[in-house]
Amino acid sequence: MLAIYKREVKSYFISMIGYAFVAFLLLVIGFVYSSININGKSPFIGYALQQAYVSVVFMLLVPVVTMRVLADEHRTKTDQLLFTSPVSITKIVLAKYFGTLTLFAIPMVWICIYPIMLTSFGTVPLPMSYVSILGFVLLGMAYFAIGIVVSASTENQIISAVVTFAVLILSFSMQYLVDITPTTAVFSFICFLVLAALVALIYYGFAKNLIAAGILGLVLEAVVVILYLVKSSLFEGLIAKLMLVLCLNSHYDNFINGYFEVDAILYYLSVVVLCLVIAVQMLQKRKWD
Amino acid sequence: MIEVKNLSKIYGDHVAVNDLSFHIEQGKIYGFLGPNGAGKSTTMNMITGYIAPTTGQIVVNGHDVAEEPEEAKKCIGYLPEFPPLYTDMTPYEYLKFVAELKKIPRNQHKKCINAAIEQTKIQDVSNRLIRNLSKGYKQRVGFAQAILGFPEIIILDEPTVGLDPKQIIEMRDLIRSLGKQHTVILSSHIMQEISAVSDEVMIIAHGRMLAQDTPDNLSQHVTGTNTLELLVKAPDYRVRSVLDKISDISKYEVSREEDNGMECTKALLSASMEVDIRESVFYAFAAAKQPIISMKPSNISLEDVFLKVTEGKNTDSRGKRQTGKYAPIRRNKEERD
Repeated sequence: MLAIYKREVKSYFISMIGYAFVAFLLLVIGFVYSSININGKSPFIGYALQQAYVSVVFMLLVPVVTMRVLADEHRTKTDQLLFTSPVSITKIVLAKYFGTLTLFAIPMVWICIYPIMLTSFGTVPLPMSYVSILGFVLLGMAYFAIGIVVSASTENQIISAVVTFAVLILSFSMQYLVDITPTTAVFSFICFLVLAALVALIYYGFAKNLIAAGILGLVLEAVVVILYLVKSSLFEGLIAKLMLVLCLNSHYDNFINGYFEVDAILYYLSVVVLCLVIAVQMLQKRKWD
Repeated sequence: MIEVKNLSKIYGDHVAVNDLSFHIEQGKIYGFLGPNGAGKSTTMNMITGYIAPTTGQIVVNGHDVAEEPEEAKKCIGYLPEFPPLYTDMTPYEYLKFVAELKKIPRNQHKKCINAAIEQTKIQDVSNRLIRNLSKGYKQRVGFAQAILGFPEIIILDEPTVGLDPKQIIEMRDLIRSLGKQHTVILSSHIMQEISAVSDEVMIIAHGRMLAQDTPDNLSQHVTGTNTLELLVKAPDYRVRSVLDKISDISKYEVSREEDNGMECTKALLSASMEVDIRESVFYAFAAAKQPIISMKPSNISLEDVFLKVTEGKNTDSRGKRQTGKYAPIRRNKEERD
C-alpha cells in the first residue's frame, strides 16, 4: 500500500500535473486573499475562501488530478500488476486517495501561513480562520473522493475529467437551483417518481437483469405513490431538501464562516467513505465482467 | 501446486474458457499452446486473480484464489500479455516499486533487483526511462518484474513476443534454468516455442483442454502408431516384395525418389506402438541385397499434433471464429503490435 502511495505522489511531480495543481490553486487563493484580506483590510480568511470564484477553479483543478488516477492504470494495463500483487483492492484505492490528498495538503499547509501574516496588521480571529481552512480541506476531501469514483468507472481520462467536473458543478449549482425549485408537494411527488424510475434504470445498467430491475422500479414507485396518498404534506419542499443534501458546498457555509460544526464533518466523511466504497466495488465488479 | 477445477469464464454470450480442469506440479515447465483467442490469457488471468472465474475453483499452493487472494498472489510472479510497465519510471525504480508491492523484505530488495536485472540482461538500460526503451527491452523489464524475488510459480503470457531471435534463445535458456527450481507456466501460439522448453504441453482451443502430455508423447498419441521413413536403392516393386514379407508392418506407402542421381524408393512404414520394426526391416532388406540408404523414425511435429487436435474437435464448440480448417499459426500478435 505504501509503495502505491509513494509512486502516486511521485508521479504527480514527474509530470506537470502536481506543479500545475499546486500553482493554480495557490494563485487563485492568493489573488482573492490579496484583494479581500490585504487590499480590502479584512482580517478573516474565510471571506476569501468562500468566493464562488475559488470554488469553481478548485472544481476545475480536482478532475485534472484525479482523471488519470485509476482510469490510466486501466488503459495502460498496469492495473494488471496492481491487482495481481498481494495487495487488496481497498488498499489500492486508499493508497491512490491518500496520494491525491497529499498533493492537496501542499497548498493547504501553505495557506495556513496567511492568517498569521495578517496578525502584523491588527487582531485576527485565528481559531475561526483555521476552522474555515479546515472546512475548505473537508470540501476538498469530498471532491477528490468523487474524482476517484469517476476515475474508477472508466479507462478514458477525458471522460473521467469531464464527468468529475460535471458532477462537482452540478452539486455546486444545487444551492442556486433550490431558489427556483417549486416547493409544492405535487412537484416533489413527480420528481420522486422520475427518480425511482432512474434508480431502476441504473440498476438495470449494472446488473443487466430486466426482471429484478422491473420489480425494483415498481416497488419504489409504489412506495412513493403510497406515501403521497397517505401523507402528501411529507412531500412539500422535499426535493429542495434533497438538493441541499447533494450540494457539497452548502454544508460548509458554517465552517467557512468560522463555526465548527460536527454535522458537517460527519457529512463530508460519509461522502468520502461512500465514494471510496463505491470505487472499490466498481473495481471488484470489473473482475467479474 | 496449482489445482484448477471446472474453470469457466463467460463474457456475455461468448464462452472464453469452458470447464477447464488441470493439475500443475512443482518444478516443471508447462506450456499452454493454442490459437489466438483460445482462452490462454483468460486462464492465466484467472489463476493470478486478475479476473474472477464465472464458475470453478483455483487453488494455488493450498490457498483458494477467491478466498485468500493475497496469500495465493504472493506465490506467483506474472508477466501478462502486455507488460504492465509504468513508462515514467526507469527499470530500476520500477523494480524497486514492484519489490515493495510484492512485500519482499526491505533488506533483500537490492539483492533481488540486481539478480532480476542480471538474469534478464537489462543492466545497460536500467537507468533509462522505460518509455524510451525498445519493445524487446520493455518485454524483458516485464519479465524481470515477474521473476523478481523468485516466486515459486512464474506465469508468463507469451514471453518471447517482440524479441529478436538471439533474445528468444536467451529467454528460452532463462526459462529452462528457472524451471529447475520453480514451476513455470508459459503460453504461446507458436509450437517451437513450447516444444523447446516445456516438460508438459497443454493444448487449448475454444477454452477447452484438448490434450495434455509431454511433447514426445503427444506426437505419438495422435497417430497411435510408430512410423519409419526408409530410402532404399532399389526399384519400387522390389521394395514392395520385401516389405510384404515383414509381418509386423501394418501399412506402408512407397514412392519413387531420386537421391544424388540414384534411382531410389522412399517408403513410409507404420507399425503398432509396441514393436520396434527397425531390426527386422534391416535384415529383410539385407537378405534381399537391397541397400538401405537411410532409415529414420518419422516424427510428427508438435505443429501437426496441434493442427490435428484443434481441427478434429472444433466442430462441437461454440466459438464463432472457426472456419472449418484452422490456420492459427500466423503470428497475429506481432502484426497487431
